Amino acid sequence: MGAYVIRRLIHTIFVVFAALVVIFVLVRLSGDPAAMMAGVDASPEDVARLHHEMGLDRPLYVQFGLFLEQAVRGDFGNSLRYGSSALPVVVERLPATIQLTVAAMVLTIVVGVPIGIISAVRRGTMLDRVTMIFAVLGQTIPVFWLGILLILLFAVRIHWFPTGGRGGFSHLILPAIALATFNVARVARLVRSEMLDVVDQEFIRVARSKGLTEQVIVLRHALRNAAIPVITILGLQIGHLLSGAVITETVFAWPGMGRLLVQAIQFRDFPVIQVAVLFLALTVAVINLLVDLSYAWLDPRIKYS
Amino acid sequence: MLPGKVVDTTSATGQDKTLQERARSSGRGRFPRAFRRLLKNPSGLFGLVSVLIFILAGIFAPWITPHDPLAQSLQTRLLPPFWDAHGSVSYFFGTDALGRDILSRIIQGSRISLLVGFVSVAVGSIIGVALGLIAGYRGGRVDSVIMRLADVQLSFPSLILALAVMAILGQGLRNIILVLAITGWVQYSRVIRSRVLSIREAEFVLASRTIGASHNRIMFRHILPNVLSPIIVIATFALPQMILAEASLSFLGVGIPLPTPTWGNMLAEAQNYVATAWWLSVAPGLALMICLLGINLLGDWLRDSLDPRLKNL
Repeated sequence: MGAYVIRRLIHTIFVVFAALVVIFVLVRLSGDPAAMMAGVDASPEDVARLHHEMGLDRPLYVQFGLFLEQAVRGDFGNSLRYGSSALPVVVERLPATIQLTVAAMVLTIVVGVPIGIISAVRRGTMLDRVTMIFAVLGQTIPVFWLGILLILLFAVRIHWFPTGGRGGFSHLILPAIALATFNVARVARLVRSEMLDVVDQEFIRVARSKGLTEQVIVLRHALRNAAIPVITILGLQIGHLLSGAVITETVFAWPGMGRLLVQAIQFRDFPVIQVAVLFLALTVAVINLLVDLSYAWLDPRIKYS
Repeated sequence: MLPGKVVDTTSATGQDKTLQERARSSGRGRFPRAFRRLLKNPSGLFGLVSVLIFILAGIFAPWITPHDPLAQSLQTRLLPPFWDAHGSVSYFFGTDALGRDILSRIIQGSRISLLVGFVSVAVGSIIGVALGLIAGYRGGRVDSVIMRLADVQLSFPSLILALAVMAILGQGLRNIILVLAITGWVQYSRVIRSRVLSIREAEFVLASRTIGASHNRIMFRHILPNVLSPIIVIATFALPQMILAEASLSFLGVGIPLPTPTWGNMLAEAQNYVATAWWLSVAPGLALMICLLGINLLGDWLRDSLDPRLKNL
C-alpha cells in the first residue's frame, strides 16, 4: 500500500510536470512572449529589452528552468487584459467554479443515486424503462444546448430563474442542473446496473431469507456493495465536470474560472490561459489521486501491485 | 491451400457438396442475418437510419440545401419556422438574424460536423492503433513510455487541452481535426495494447516468427486483423465524442470560424436571440442531439454484435 501511494504521488507530480511542459511549449509556439507582453504599441527596442529580461535569448532548457522557477513562485506574468498579476485574477474566480461544481456534484448524488435504486428495484416496469430512456437522453444532450433550453424555458418564458450571472441561490439552480445532467444520467445507469449485479448475489438471498425488510436489504446491503464503482465514477467525473463548467459558465455568464479561460483565449491573454490551464490540470490530478487512494479505505479487499 | 483446389477435390461426395453450400450460404447470409437482427433492435435501427440521413445530408449538402447557407437577406431576417403564422414554407426552420435559412445551415453544418468527426476519428485511430500495437508487441521500455504518456493524457481534461491548443493554433478546420485526433488516440492504444498482449503469444504469431516474418509484418499483417473488432467499436463511440467536441469548441468560439455554419457556432450565435427568436437555439441543437444519439445507439448495437467485452468502454 505504501509503495502504491508513493507511485501514485510520483505519477501525479509527473502529470503536473507534463502540464507545465505543455503550457511552456504552447506559449513558445504562440509567438514571441516578449512581444505579447510588451503590447502592440511597444517599440522594437522595448521588445528586445523585455526579450532579454525574460531570458528568451538563452538556451531552451535554461528558459524552461526559469519558467519552472517562476511557476513554483506563482509568477506567470501580468494579465494582458487586467494589467495585474495573472495568478490572483484566476484565484479570485476559483470560488465561483468550486460552488458550481460542488452544486452539480450534490445534485448528481441526490438525484442520480435514488433514480438508479428505484430503477433497479422496479426492474422491467414502465417506470424503469422511462427513467432509462431519460438517462440515455441525459447522457447525449450537449451541455450548452441544455443550458440554452433551460434559459429559454425557465428564465425567458416563465421567469422562474434569472438568465445568468452569479448572485443568490436562484442564480445557481439552472447552471447546476445543466452541468449535472450528464452525471445524473450516468450515475443513475451505473447504480442501476451495479444494484442488479449485487441483488443476485448470495448474501442478498441470505438477508432476504433472514426476513429483513426490502428497504433494509436495498439500502444497507445492496447499495453499500454497489457504492465502490459509483464513487470511482463520481471521482473521475470531476475532470468532466470541470470541462463542463467551462461551457456552463459561458452559457450562464457565471463568473468562474472556465468563463475566464474562454475570455482569456478570445483576448489571447496567455498569462491567464497558462494559470487557468495549470490550475485545472492540478485540480484534476489531485482529485484523481484522492479517488485512487480512497479505494483502500472503501474496500480493504483491493490489493495494490 | 487454395480455395479453388478445395472445390475441385471435394465436389465428388454429396456430404461435401452440402458443406460447401452451407459455407457459401453462410458467407452470403452473414450480412442479411446481421441486418435482420438490426431490424429487430429498434434503438439500433433508429441509430442506423438517423446516421444514414445525416451522412447523406452531409454528402449531398450542396445539392439539397433549399437556400444558399451563407446568403444574407435583410428582408427575410428572423423569420419564424413555417408553422408559425409569420413563417414561410420556403424557410422550413425559419431564418437567423442575417436572414440566412436555418435548415440549409443545419444541412451544411452536418457536412462539417461529420467531416471533422470522421477524419479526426480516422487520424486518432491510426495514431492510437499504431502506438497500441507497438506498445503491446514490443513491450519493455517502449510500452512503458507509451502507456505513461497515455496515463498523463487521460489525467488531463481533453476539452481543456483542446481549448489550450486551439488558442495557440487558431481557429480552422485543419487545426480542429489535428487537436481532436491528438486528444483521441489514447482509448485505442490502451485497448489494442491489452488485446495484443494476449495475441502475441498465440501460435499463429509464433509460427510467423519461426518462418522469419519481420516484426512489422507480424504486427500489421497478422495481429492487426485480429484486433479490428475493438477498433471499429471504439471508433463508433469516438465519433459522437469528436462531433460533440467540435460543436463545443465552435460554440466557445475557438472551433470552426464564422461564417462557415456548424451546429456549435450556430448555437453560439443563437444565444443572443434566446428571448426573441427561440427557433435559432432549438433546431441546430436538436440536429446535434439526434446525430449524437443515433451514433451512440448504433454503437451500442455494433458493440453488442462485435465485441460485448467492451461493455465498460
